[in-house]
Amino acid sequence: MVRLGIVVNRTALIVVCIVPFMLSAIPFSLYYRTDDIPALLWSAAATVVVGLLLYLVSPKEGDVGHKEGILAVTLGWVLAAAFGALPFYLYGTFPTYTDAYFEAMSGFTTTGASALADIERQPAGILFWRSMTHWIGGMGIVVLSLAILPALGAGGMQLFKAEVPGPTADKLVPRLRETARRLYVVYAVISAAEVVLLLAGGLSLFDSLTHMFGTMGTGGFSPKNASVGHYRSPYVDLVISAFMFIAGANFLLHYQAWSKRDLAGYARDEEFRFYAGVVAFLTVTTAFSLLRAGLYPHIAESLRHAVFAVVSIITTTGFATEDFERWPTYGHYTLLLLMFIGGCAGSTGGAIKCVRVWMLLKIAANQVFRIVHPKAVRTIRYNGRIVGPDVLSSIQSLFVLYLAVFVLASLALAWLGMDAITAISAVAATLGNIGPGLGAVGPADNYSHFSPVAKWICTGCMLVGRLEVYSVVVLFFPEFWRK
Amino acid sequence: MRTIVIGAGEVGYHIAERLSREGHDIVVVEQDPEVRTRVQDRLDVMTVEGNGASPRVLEEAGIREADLIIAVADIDEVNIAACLLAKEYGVPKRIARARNPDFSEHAFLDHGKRLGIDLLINPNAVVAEEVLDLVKTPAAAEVGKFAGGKVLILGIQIGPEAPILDRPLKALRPLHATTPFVVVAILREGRLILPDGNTTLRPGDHIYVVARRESINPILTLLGKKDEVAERVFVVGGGRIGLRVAQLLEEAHLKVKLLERNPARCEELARMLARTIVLHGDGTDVNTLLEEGISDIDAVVAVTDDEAANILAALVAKERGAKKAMALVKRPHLIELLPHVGIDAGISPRILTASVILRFVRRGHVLSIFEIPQSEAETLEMMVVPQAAVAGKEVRDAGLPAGAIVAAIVHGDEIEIPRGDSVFRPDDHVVVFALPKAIPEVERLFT
Repeated sequence: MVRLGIVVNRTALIVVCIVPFMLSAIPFSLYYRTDDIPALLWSAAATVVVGLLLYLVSPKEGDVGHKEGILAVTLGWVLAAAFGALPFYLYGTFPTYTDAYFEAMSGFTTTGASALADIERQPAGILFWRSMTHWIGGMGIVVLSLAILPALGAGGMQLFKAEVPGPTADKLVPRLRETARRLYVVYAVISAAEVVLLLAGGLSLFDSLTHMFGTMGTGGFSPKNASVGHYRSPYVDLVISAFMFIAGANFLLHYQAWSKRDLAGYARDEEFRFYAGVVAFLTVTTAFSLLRAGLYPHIAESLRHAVFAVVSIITTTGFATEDFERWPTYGHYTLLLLMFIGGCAGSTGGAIKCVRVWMLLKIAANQVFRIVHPKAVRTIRYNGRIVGPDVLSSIQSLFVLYLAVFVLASLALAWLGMDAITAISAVAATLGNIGPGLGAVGPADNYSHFSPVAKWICTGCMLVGRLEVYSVVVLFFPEFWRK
Repeated sequence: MRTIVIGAGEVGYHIAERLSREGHDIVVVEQDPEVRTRVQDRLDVMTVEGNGASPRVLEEAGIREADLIIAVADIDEVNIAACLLAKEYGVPKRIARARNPDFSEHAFLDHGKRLGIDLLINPNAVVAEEVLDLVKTPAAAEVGKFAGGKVLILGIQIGPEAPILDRPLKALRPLHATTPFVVVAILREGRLILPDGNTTLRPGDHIYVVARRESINPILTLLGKKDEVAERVFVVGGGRIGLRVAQLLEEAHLKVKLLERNPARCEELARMLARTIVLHGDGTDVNTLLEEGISDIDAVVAVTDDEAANILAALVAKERGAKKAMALVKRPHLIELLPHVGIDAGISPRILTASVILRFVRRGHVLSIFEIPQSEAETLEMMVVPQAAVAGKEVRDAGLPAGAIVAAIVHGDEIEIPRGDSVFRPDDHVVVFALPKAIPEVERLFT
């Protein structure tokens, strides 16, 4: 039986953590003299009141087991998006709460799919909050709350495991709270570096911060209608490409490189090599396909746009500089493939994750080897360590579940009357937390024309993708709730 | 403080849990992946899978930055090798468990010093000492010693015949002039209660009393317990622990009978024990026990490898008239069940070993620790250092946190069971009972 009391308690604590970030948008509202301050203040107040109320009525002590951890994290995300949607709804950014919820969930899950047709008409505070959700959701709402709230200490590992992406959740240091803090410190330091570089590129502080949120969280919301393409600057493209690539790598590696002052860790890590290899290969081939199609006059320009698009999609960011729908089929196809691969474990990126794809390839190779040598005894290793059967089967079943959710959701969208490319890519892009897809949801379009039902399906996909399928899907099994 | 714990068995798990709560950064090295996962999920510690005697594994656990290593894996040699390696890696403090007395007692090894081990703990020896203490105080289920044995804490099960029943504790105050004592805690239906003057004791309560050694007898009378001097002891099980217990009891000039099932082992035991009567037989067999006069026995100690057999043997003995029956149990939570079935005391090697280790780790300001089972409350003996916050203050003004009770103040040879106006003088030893949440504050006040 799931102990609901303690779940409510932990959920309340998780949700309240977003409040200071919501308030951080207000200075920009003041500076740009926009009229969104009441919406932000009321939203923050509502979050605090409901959060504290839930906290006060629920038991503070209790065992947080596996099930409680999963439920608290999933519920925490559902509620964070519910309260995160309030500024959009109260200000009137969207006519319906469905749209506001879609936008907030898209923000927290770092999807970056927008239901907003004209972004630039929105006030600064709303746009700041919209991008801010990426930054919080990137490293994780739960990791954030673990870092700042000592009360989550007991059973925190269950929460951590349920949120951190990847087949295993590793700590940096023995204490979970310290681990969460250091993750956020590394995250903040890299984020600050990007802001400085963007400022140096001539962007305003507001634009630098919001694009940094989108990059570091691998989200993809931009306060500009034309996304990063707005600036038409090779420098900005390059900086953002580089930081998207960093954010899509495992933060454990960043932490180790930083604490040991040694970059060799990257080269030793199998997943990172696979990630970098995929990016390099697809960037070069896509650039050549662009050159061959004669879209850009120079190889340098082809490369610039190819690297931006490839990194933007594999890291599941979804920023755009060019409408890649105008690219040759090879470009579409690689981007669609990349939507499934995603970033590394322990990164802010989404989708299946490089480590899992890499391990699936290893499992397949192993199977082929055993056809040739039926008597061979072999183990599958990852970074020099033997991978146990539990982890292998969890990787395989996650892949199957991911595809199952993908198939069901895209079938549902097709049923609602969408064309195949739109249905497939919209689900791939929301389930993988990328944002823009192809067809009617390409980088030059948005999700505003979707029906409410289609929006809820996509919203669900975002959550399922961010929490890596299991944490959400398990709630639909009656076994989970049984005594 | 970074601490590496090798082995997440009963002792390792418990120590990791306690030290993690006390602020150590713990890395647990465990070979069994299933156990490792359980530790990782339940405790706020880092875990590494592998053999604790492997430099590769130890490096992964961060041995170069470690300040303390506690090697409590199942195999003695692994623990010793881990400490030897830890010394080479420059870990300042090293603790190991070794069950084989060849390691822990041989003069050449000098209690582990020659191997670079600061505390080499033999759980069997610790168990044997506990048994001796329990045999010497027949009425108590647990005994803890403070101030070199001058102050005792006794865990006593209250029977229906105790004269103290139905009277509030404050009614006993006149007695304090002659036999001062403090009831620091009551375990009632599995919950720990801190008594005040209005609390009345009920049959079935398990109380913890702190008193001077020489006041124990009158207190026991008050509680309806006869304090007889034990003479005849029956030990069931002649394994390493049984042998050790028998040796220690022999040294204390008690009459010991030792029952062992394996005839070959009986031969060995007979050679090693000079005055003990070694018997061949089954400890749960009533006839054997009756033949050997179990009804005249003062204390029965069942210490075979099989905890179920121990409980059974203790039950049978108790039922046939043994005055006190004790059983060794491996799973500590079984201890709280024992009083309900009439067994007087449970002995848990895990709890005993862990508390010896904890005492060593906290050594310095904490001189001695007695853990209240099932509650994580502790009775601590601490020295009042001159710069301590409490030095020179009266007990009531010392700012002790709720959940802490001063049970005794020892000035040199003089032992005071304190009142509100008693004063903490520098260099006094103070015995304090504290609930888990009060422990850090208590330690802070005394340092």
